[in-house]
Amino acid sequence: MKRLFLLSAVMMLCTSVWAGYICRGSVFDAQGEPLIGATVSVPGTAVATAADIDGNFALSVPDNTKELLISYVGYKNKTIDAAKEVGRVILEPESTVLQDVVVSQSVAKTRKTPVAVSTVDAPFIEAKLGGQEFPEVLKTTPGVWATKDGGGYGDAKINMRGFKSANVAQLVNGIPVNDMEWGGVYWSNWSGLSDVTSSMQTQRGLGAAIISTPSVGGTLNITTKSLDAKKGGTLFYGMGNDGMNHIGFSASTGLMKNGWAVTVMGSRKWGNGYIQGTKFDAFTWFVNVSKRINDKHQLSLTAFGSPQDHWQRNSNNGLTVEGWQNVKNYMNGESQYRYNPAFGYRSNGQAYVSNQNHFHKPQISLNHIWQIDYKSSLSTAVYLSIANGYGNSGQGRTSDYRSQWYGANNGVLTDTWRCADGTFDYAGIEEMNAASTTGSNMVMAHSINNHTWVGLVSTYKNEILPNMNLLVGLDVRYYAGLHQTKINDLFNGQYYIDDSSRKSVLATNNSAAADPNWQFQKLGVGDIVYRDYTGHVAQEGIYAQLEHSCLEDNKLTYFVAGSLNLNSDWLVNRFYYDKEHQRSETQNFLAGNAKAGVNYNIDRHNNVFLNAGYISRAPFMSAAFLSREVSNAVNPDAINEKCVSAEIGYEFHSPKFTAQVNGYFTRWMDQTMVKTNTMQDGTRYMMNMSGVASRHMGVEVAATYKPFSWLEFSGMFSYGDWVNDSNTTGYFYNSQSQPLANLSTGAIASGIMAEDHLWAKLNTKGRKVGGSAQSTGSLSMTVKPLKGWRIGVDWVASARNYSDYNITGNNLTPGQELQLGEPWRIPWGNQLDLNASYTFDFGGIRATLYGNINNLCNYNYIMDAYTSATVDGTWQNAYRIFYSFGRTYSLRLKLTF
Amino acid sequence: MKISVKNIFFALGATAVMASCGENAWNDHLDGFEPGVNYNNPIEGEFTMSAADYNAVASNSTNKSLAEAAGVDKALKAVGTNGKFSAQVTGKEYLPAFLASSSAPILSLRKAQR
Repeated sequence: MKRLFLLSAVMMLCTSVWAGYICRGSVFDAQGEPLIGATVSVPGTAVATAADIDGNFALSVPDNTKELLISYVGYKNKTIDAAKEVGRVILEPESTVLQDVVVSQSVAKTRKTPVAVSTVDAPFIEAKLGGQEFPEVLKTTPGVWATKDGGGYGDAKINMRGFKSANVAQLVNGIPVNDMEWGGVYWSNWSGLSDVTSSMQTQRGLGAAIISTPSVGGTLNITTKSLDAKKGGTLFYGMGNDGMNHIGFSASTGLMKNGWAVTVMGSRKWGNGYIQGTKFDAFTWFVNVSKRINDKHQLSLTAFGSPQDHWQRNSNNGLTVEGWQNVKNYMNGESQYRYNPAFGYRSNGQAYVSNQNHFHKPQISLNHIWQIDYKSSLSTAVYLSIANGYGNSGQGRTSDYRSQWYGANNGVLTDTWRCADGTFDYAGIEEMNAASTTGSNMVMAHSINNHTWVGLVSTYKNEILPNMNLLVGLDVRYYAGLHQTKINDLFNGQYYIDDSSRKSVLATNNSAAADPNWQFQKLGVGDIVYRDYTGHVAQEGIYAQLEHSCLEDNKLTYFVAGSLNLNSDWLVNRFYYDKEHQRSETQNFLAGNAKAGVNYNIDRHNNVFLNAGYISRAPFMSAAFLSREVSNAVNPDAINEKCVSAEIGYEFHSPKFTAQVNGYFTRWMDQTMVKTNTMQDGTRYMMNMSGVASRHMGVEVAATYKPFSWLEFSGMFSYGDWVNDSNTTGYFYNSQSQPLANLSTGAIASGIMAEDHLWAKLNTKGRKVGGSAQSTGSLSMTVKPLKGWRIGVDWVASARNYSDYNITGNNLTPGQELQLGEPWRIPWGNQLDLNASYTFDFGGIRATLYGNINNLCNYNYIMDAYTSATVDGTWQNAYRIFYSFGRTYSLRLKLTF
Repeated sequence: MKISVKNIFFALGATAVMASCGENAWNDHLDGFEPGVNYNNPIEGEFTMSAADYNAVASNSTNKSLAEAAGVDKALKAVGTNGKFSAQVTGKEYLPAFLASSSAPILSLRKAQR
């Protein structure tokens, strides 16, 4: 009996000691990398465990446990409230790194910055990207529409809330990279960034950046690895469909005791391309050297670039629905949607595509941080971008010969140089040129677009009152873009005569044209044809922001911000003008923006936000001048584009469930639209359509549910209502910016917008904005079934995708109204993507094997299409159509040491 | 846990097996689309010529060569001025070169590709 009592007592004691629960969670660094072996313990006890290879932990703790202590060498200890599910714990590096305000000022913070934001980190990109284009990793982000366009390497396009890339700001480490002349971004120049990205943040709407950026639709904010990089390195090799290979390395010293940190990275990606004749070869390099000089000063030099060559399927080479069916017999059993109308062979048997692209746009920035005292700092970034490269540009003696370089015209396969097997007969062009007694009729040229861009962004930050920060800054940029078209291949001819361009050169502008023989000069490889000009853009700006967090636990954060900038554009045209006349007038525009927002954290889970703003943006150079490639004529009607926007949102955050709902309204006004055409006498005329407007409103929802540490669901839905919203009038000008009264005679009107000034009307009101899916949605599941394993499924759907349209000079007839046709509503499409990874110990090195299958169902659906501006769109009259890629795959092994 | 893992793998496997679609499956959304039809047949359509289009017909270099050979170059010029075809310069003969050129009103490709 005594023994039985003793046994019972011991059991009760054990039960009382071990009665408790299991705490589960995961430990990561700021880049989202799991901190393997991080210690999780109950303070004051011996109860402890270590995070596994995925950063996960499960610790059995007594019932009365209130806190958990998380520690890891090189990182600050963190104490968190104990719970059954503690979620994701992020540890900060132990060394105090000074905050670079130039970089951080444009990064939105959850439950603080009142903007609609989605962030993907490096592990997310690694898991989902596979063989896709970099922007496609954002296809599960609300409001984002990313397609592969023609399908060549890096030729992807990304629209946000229906706005094209020229209206979506792209920042790399707080520095703007949108082209200074036309605002757009060629992703082929930035594709390699995916390997060094620490995080990519999508801010829809006005965004958090306070420098002058074209954030009408939103902002893509890429932060690369730098001083925060962990000591160590990686080696990886990947392979995929159509001969894709990807090899690379990265190494970082971490922040050393002497205050230095160096990170280097290099990679090469090459392959044949999924689309016929789209081979590519791209290198990426990245260097960051940082020095923490002392507690007050820190320097960081970052340089990266991605030199690449790729063959393309030009966006004009999309066919009609029927046209794609007709090329099936050319593909030897392959999908017809992989056909490239411009792919063919030269007479020496070498494969060739007329659309090729070769560019390198490295960017170098030097950031200095000066922590003046405990409440004020000065962060300054000086940057330089030197771009060199070209795209191919087929030239011809006449417009008909020029057209003959096209693989397709208005969606119809061109047949002048079409071989029986569907390939393009480049050998035939060589034969024609060789037989010509007047030199080559068709030659290939490099369309050179080099630039030099220098800039400075400097921000002074001062905590003028507790939790009230004032930021003021300077944003200065100068850009010079060199644009030349230079013959690189005579295609077997003896020489080339550029009379089709030179005949438009007026002797009053260029004295060379006074000699009638000049236009018939025999030209060879390296000679310039058609265009030779430099576009100059200078911008001087200032900005300021006041941000204040107040109430208990800083529940309320509000900000007001504004910027003002002076933009100056001028041209130096060396083809149509001689030295005396080559510099154009300078077009000056004063622009700026003002925005304000407020975020209120209702409790530890719920917060609401509101923002509103007004942007006045200087017109791009393409609008400041009527036809900048061939004329210095300024656009006398050019005015700033304006945008007014407001947004409201609600967020819920808990370890298991997060959700965001937001609604927005944006009206984009005075979009400049300049059209050109040729008069009967061969000289060019231009027309400027002022007051073009559109309205973009919608609702976006995103949610993540993580019921267990090994299972996560996420999804998003966005519904946009984006319509054109203007009936406008445009006026006709000649190549000297004089108002035209008659297109046949070239007679000058009595004044600008006078009664006899030729006009045309464009009615777009109520017509859908084209080029984007106005409804997108996705459902994702990620499961970690076994230690080291991760399997993910993404289902992505798009609907209400409206065809794009081009309004050309031909569409606008003097004295007439053009009623824009309703674009074609492309039926909905969807695809299923799989991703998986297995992380294991490989001789003391962490190894991860990644696998991706995109479009598992091999479901081809139309993503891009055009219809005529003058008629309502249908599938029968749609052209420039591109279907989605079919099933593709990639496999990658990464070693982390 | 083991059961759930098995179920997940089974579901993924089943999805993969069932997932393969024909390359034209989506085209069923297009009312009237018939796979396998030879669409090379010409399509009839209506098109209204603007004054600028007549000018483009008159200044088209292929048309100019045609008119010169036929001795009707003045009549071709008149098409641009008058905004209509004539007995000497007919639409049947002089429209194709215009429609095939980059001046055709649906789309101007020259600027985009140059």
